[in-house]
Amino acid sequence: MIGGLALPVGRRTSRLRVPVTIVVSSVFILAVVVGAIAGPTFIHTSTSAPNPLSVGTMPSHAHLFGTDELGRDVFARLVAGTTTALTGPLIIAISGFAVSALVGVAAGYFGGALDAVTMRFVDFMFALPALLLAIVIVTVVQGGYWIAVLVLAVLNVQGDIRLVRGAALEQRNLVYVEAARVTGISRFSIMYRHIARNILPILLADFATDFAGALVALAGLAFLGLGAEPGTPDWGLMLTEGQTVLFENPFAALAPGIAIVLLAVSVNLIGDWLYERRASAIGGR
Amino acid sequence: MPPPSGLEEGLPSPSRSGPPLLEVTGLEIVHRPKNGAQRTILAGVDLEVGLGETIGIVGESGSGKSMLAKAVARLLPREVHAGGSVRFRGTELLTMRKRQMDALRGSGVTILYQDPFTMLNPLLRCGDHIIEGLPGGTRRGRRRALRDEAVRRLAEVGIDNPDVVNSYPFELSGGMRQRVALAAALASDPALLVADEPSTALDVTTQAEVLELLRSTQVARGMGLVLITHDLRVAFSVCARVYVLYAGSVLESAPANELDREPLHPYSLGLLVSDPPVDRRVSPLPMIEGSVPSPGDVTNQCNFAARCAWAEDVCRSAAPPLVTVGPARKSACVRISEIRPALGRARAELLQASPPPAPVDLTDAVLRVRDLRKVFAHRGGRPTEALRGVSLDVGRNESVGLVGESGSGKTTLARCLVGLETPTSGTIEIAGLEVGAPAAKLHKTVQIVFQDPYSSLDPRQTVGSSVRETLRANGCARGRLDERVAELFAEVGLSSSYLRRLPARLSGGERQRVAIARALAVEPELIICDEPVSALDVSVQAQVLNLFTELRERLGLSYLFITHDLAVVRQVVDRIYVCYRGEIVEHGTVDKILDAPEHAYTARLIASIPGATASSARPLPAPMIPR
Repeated sequence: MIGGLALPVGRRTSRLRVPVTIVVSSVFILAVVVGAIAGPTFIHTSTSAPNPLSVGTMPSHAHLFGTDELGRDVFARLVAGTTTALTGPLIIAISGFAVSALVGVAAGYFGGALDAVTMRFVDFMFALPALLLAIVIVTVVQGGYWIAVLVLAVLNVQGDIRLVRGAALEQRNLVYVEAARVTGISRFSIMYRHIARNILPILLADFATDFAGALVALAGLAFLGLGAEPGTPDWGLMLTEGQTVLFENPFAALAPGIAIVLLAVSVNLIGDWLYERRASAIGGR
Repeated sequence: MPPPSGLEEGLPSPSRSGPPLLEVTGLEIVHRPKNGAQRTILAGVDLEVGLGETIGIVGESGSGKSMLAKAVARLLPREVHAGGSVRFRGTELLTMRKRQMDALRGSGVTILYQDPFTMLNPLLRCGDHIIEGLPGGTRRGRRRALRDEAVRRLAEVGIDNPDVVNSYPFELSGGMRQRVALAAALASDPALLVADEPSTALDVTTQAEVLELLRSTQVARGMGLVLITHDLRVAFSVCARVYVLYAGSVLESAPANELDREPLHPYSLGLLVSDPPVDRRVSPLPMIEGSVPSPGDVTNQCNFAARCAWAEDVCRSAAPPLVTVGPARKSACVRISEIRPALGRARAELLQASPPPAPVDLTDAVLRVRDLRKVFAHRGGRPTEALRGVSLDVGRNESVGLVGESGSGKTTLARCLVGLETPTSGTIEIAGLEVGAPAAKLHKTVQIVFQDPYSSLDPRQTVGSSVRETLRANGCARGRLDERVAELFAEVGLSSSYLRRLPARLSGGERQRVAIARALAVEPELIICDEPVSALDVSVQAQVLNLFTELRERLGLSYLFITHDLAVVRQVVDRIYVCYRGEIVEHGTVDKILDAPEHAYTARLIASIPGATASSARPLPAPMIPR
């Protein structure tokens, strides 16, 4: 370190300044979460009962985003759709997080045969055309939303494992890991207390990417008629169904589409921001 | 050697009537991050480099010396801004147009950086690095002529093998790379070369060669040279004048020999005496308490007041100006006229030699290594023999030095001893325990303190928790944990307020103390110290060395002290083993080895210490084992 520029390490990090984009993203995500939890208690408009008298009407006082091809309230369905928009991607992202943290860190730390086997498995998974396979499986099993979630959860882990394994491999060669080994700290502690904590920013950013990817993939499957059952308020499904009234009430298709984009972008932005903050919190070393 | 073509048109007549080559006045450098507090790096520095003059800028990390170099070449990072004036041959650089500045860099001012491993583009051949920098006129020559010119330029920096122009940087050793980098920096025939720690990353013997090369090229070309270093001895060996920089201000400037003879600022004195002498053992080592402050924290007072033994109220009431105290000498100490005699006396007292250590009985050795070999197999290549039959002993409560340069195998030995590598053959016995025995038992008797305290601690774990975890892994009762952690921190001289800090909020010396506390948590009998102070600032180095000595006396520890620094070894070690190409070539008591070395390699190591009398040791092959 002699001769280098010693950046101020002695002082507490100055008070956190949150960028506007992050505030906006957080507010949006919060709104989605509130909608998923408390939606049914404050929206009493039915989300399923067709109303042939007002099919494809433009937004009004009664219907904030107008109605769809069956005369159902788009806003109510949008709020009801938050549940599927959150749960599936959350399950997929959490499973990716957990599996990569367990397997990826172990493969990176131990190396050798465990690493070789894991990485060949990952290579195999990468060779599979994930979305195509998902379409085939979901079609064949005639499964709905949950089968789609399961298939995507499995087909999502390989990227996470590869990423985390690489990061763990890098940490493994650092002196602090050797120091821990010499002082007799157990492998388990080294892997899951030291290494995992040091690559947490990567895990978090990866979690966000997974979530956004899964959201879009699930919506895509639903759009193709795979996944969510017809009739359920699901954003991807609403996108398809709303098309029929595109000229009467464009919001029937636009609103769920925009919601998907906003949620995916918000989650990604926050993941990115968390990564940069945590990575710079230790002085970039 | 080619006549440097820039000389004729570039330099004005040698009469000293014109403006100096470089004149820096009131240079301020401020770091203004987009979000975060503004921070002063340099607070008004004045300096001057005459034509063909060599000056040294000496300072510890955080003094702002590297930023000073960058400011001169207008290469400051974004968010870092310079104010004041930097005049090169009378032309203001700070306000110069960007294009003009680009042209001036290279032909006028060039920087040579510290790290030869990252300074060269790994995809360019060495010759191309040089050709790229040749002055515009010569650059449009035929390929053949350019190559010949590159060969000539390499010869100027002492590389006689013309094939080097075609090799890639990774094929060369650190010293060779630094030479190529120097040749590339000199390619455009600069009038001023700023060398930022050019020898720090190199081995001792290579370091001496590179410094000698810098000195001779500077003389031959008659260019100005600014040498930036943390090491006063390096500055003295090359420079005519030295500026002592501390926390963003110049505290003293003087001709090198004068400063060596009589420092006129308490900080210069501190720097001089805390750099351990090679020729005698001083115990305890004189040191400067505390660590370098941030320039912004010491405004309106003497920067050094908080660590100065002579500080009085007058020092803390205003920032002292740099005033002339003698012919060509300036000091920023307001009390210098009062304390001048005291400084002189202090220096004599502090450096009094202490008696040599008493010999230790080796029948009861803590560490016994016999005929240790380690061969690294390379896939598809010839195996490397890192250790070729090493035998050594460390007695109980003895401190033993293992000296050698990089590639000599000393770190491999250390790693074998703590179980991070498995030796190919030979035996290691630690406290009667054969190594190869279960690792769990091994680490209770032997511990290691690593070289770089910046990477040996988990950056996300508070230092208290780090020591606590080690205690728990070694069977400390839950109820006693807090008590023991506090004890260990006290043992290494850290207050308990440090417990909850992350490593990034500690200075290098403090981190090394934590690393020592962590090693002590295991209650080992032997601690292997792998270059434990080489990454630390001079003033902090002495603190840590004293801590090692003190702990040894108090806890009855034994040390195996691995280092390349003979001055350090002199202070803390009873016996020395000299390691060269995987073998022990010489061993004996410190005084015997350092004062009357028998092996040529030992003699060369001693001669390489800056400031040591140059001896005509015959050249030896590099300490690396050829593959």
